[in-house]
Amino acid sequence: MIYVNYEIIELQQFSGKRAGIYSVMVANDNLTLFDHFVKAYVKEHAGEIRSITQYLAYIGNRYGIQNRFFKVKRGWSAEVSCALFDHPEKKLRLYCFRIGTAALIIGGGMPRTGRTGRTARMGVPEKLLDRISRDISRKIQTGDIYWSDQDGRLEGNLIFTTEGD
Amino acid sequence: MRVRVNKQPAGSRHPIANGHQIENQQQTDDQIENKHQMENKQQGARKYSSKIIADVMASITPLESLQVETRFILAGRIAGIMDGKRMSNKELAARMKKSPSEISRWLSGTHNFTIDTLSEIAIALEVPVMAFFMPSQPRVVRDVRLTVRSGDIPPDNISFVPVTSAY
Repeated sequence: MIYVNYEIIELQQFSGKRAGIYSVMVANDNLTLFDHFVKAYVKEHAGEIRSITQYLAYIGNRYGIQNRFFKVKRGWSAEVSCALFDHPEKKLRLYCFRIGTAALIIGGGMPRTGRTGRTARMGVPEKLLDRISRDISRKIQTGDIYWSDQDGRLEGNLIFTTEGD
Repeated sequence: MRVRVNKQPAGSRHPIANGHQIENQQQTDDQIENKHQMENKQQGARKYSSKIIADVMASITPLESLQVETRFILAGRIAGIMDGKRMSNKELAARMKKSPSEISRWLSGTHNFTIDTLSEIAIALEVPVMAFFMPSQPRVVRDVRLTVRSGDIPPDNISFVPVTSAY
């Protein structure tokens, strides 16, 4: 069995007084899942990528994590939280995991496919985010990670090991 | 002033990720040392400043910035008016003969509203269209019911609701 180590890190350009915005960095990688998403699609979908970065900055600094920003689709794993920026007129969607109303962990993203936007099977970033969301849920239940009211940030053991592909 | 790119400092509490923390600005040695000391003492997540994100944000034009901001503001105003009237997405959808999913998309902050759509929404919400373009008045709550629950709850975790809310 292959195991993958990864770490939850805070994205300074998005986090603010309204919410902490985080992403995942896998061991031996210099970039987060969100960085990889941007790199993959910034040439073909430059305008949407720019909109997404603004969107995240607004969530972290001005609006906070509100239910209306997210979409949970039927048929997705219950552990995979939601999608951001999921609009029929948009080409991209961003997967994420919410922790209450104060922390958001961004995974990767993928282009929407077909009229309904359904993908034939789970893409790589969605599958990894599925595992990550289960790991985080478990650690929250055990108290290994928690929300700090004082600092307004996620704290605890933010380094994980999970099954790889 | 010596210039250096931040690498994983010795004794860092983050042995797993083997990346470089990329900084956009030059820093003195004292500033770098202070920053590492601060990060090592924190129990929170490692703070990461992405050059990729920075490049994208630097490329955003004033027009794009205003467009995204306007969509957010409009969606927020509509959502705020609906909250004030205690109207759900389903109710607004029924009034407008639309699907609830379409209402959800409008409120997501990504929708590019037309004037005609805003007019339809204004009629359904029984407000003037200009209400979407003006800051909302703060809601005054005069009576509050405070609930404090005992048990395995952190001592500073309390909830309160206005007595006017329906349960």
